[in-house]
Amino acid sequence: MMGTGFICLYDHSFKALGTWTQHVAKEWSLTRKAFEADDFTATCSDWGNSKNACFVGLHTPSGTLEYIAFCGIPVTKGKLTTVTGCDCRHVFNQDIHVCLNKQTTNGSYSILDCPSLFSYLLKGVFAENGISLGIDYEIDVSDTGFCAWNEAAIARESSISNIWDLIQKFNAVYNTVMTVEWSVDSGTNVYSLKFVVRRIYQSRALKLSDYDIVMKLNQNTINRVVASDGSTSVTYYLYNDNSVGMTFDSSKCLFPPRIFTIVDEDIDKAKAKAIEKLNDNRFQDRVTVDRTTKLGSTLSDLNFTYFGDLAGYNAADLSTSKRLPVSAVKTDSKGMNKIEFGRLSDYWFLEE
Amino acid sequence: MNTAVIQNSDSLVSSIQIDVVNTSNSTQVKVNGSPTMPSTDFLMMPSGLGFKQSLDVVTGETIDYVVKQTIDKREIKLTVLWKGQNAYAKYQEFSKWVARYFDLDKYHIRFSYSINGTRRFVEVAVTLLDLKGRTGSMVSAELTLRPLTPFYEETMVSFIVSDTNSGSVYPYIYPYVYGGGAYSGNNQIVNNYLESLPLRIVLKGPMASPYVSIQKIDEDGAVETEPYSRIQFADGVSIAANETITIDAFNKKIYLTSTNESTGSVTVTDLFNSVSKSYDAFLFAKPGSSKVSASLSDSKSECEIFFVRYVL
Repeated sequence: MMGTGFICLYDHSFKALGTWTQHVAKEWSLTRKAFEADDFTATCSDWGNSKNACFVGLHTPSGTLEYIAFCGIPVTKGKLTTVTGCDCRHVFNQDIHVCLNKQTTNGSYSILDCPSLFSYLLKGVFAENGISLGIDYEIDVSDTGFCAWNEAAIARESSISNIWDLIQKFNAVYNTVMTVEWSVDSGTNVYSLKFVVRRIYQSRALKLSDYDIVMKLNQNTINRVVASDGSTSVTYYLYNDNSVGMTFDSSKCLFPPRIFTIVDEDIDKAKAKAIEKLNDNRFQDRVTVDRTTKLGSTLSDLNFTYFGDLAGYNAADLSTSKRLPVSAVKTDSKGMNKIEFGRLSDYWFLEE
Repeated sequence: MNTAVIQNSDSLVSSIQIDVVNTSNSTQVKVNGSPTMPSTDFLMMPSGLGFKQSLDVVTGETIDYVVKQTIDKREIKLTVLWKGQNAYAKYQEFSKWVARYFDLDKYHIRFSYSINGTRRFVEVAVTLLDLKGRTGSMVSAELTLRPLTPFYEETMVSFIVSDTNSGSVYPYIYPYVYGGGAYSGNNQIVNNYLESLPLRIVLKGPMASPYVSIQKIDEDGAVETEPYSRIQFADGVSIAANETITIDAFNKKIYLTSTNESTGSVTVTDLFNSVSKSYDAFLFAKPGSSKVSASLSDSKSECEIFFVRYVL
């Protein structure tokens, strides 16, 4: 969505608040991110009532809900109120007890495929710990049923872990993305949240010289991890095609080498963590395409289920392309409309 | 024909009017039955009429590509003059008049001029009234008006959507002629402007399960089956004979107006929570031709549509 929108504040049951519930947004800015928390701010004329506000919704001029986030504390200055939204997916930013080695009565692991893994992380783990997040939501992980299970990429252990981080780790392993969607309960006529995990399975080829491109390369990426139990060790490599393997191949390995070592008494756990570590570093680049450029509209249908096959990534080599997932879509009320490829964090320079 | 004759017969300045409309229903504000207007003795030719277009152009080697086309709103600037020994008092009166209609939530001051009998209006906010002082018998002030709408002709067009079963149409004369996209009968709106037209819809009860929808009419005159926009109220919402629902895309408000038949008191309640979230909350008529339909199962129920014909 671009241009004028309006803002509504909702309580936790999605009832719009205020004597007049709709407020024309003076300005708004929204960056949706696939693997990090979204950024959303909006400024409106003064709200009569923001008490009990739980959610803030951005609506199109015709009223369709475009985006919803948890409502930060509105700040009023002059007669304008600015509200900052907190990504709904951040309900999963919780450090709790996680059992990835949980077993059934017949002795097999209860998490044995992607749907059971993501179901556990999105819902089961909270029930298991007796934790209520205070909001009702549904989940849909059915699309992950098409992902091939990678037993080597899961550390079978019981520990205190951050759920958001775990979801993103497994998103990196399985090329999946978690998004929040909303639907309308026809009985009560209120919105309900649904967290969906989808595969990144579509691709679009684009030639970078056709667009006004801004690229950011991270040369700080850990590209080799040594897994050791103290006596034996195995080295894993992140290759330039963003796959992970155990064989040194100078034509595929990244330079300069950046090595990280993981030691665990159980070599299998060390190996799993090594693979996880390198998977975290896949697609660590950033390419920004302005969709308001002359060919930008050809990318208007891209969403987080797409990879971009970027031809001309290396200006000296136009014959190969680099594959990067769609990682962010930036829009605002002034007409900005940009799409980002690659998983490079906004804060990559703070990471190891 | 000499110059003086031409000036007398083709004067834009003499046709300029400034009045006020209510934002809630776009009706002209009247005092003691007459339209309220400020008092001036002379006006100078304003600047800011006509149009200005902004193009976002990507320069190519051979041809350029237009990626965005927008019509800019230009400030209207004019000099207002008052004559005589009490000219400052007249200025003071003018200033008070402006202040009286300063609440932009309730009122829009409207500037208009006429060419060849066609009047063009634009709703504005006064952003500057700069007193310049006396020169001889004249006191002047510079007035700057910030447009809040594009220019539009006539005033607002309104019509009552007919019962779709009978197919009959009842053109409705609003208290004063109001401009808009052309109303071509058969519940149709023709929008020749670059952008979508906001609609104000008033549903008058009794009406069960109120809805309004708008469908595209293609170039062959065929009405598309699926509406491109629709407002539907949630299950259980209905309006009684003494109630109206106003769905106002001009002011981004949806409200129920109830009139107590015994006391005559009127209550207004926000109704956004009762709009079905599965559909839209406000209607806009896209460029081209569109047809409006509404829930008119009761012979006493009505659906009035108001819109404005914007022009360059």
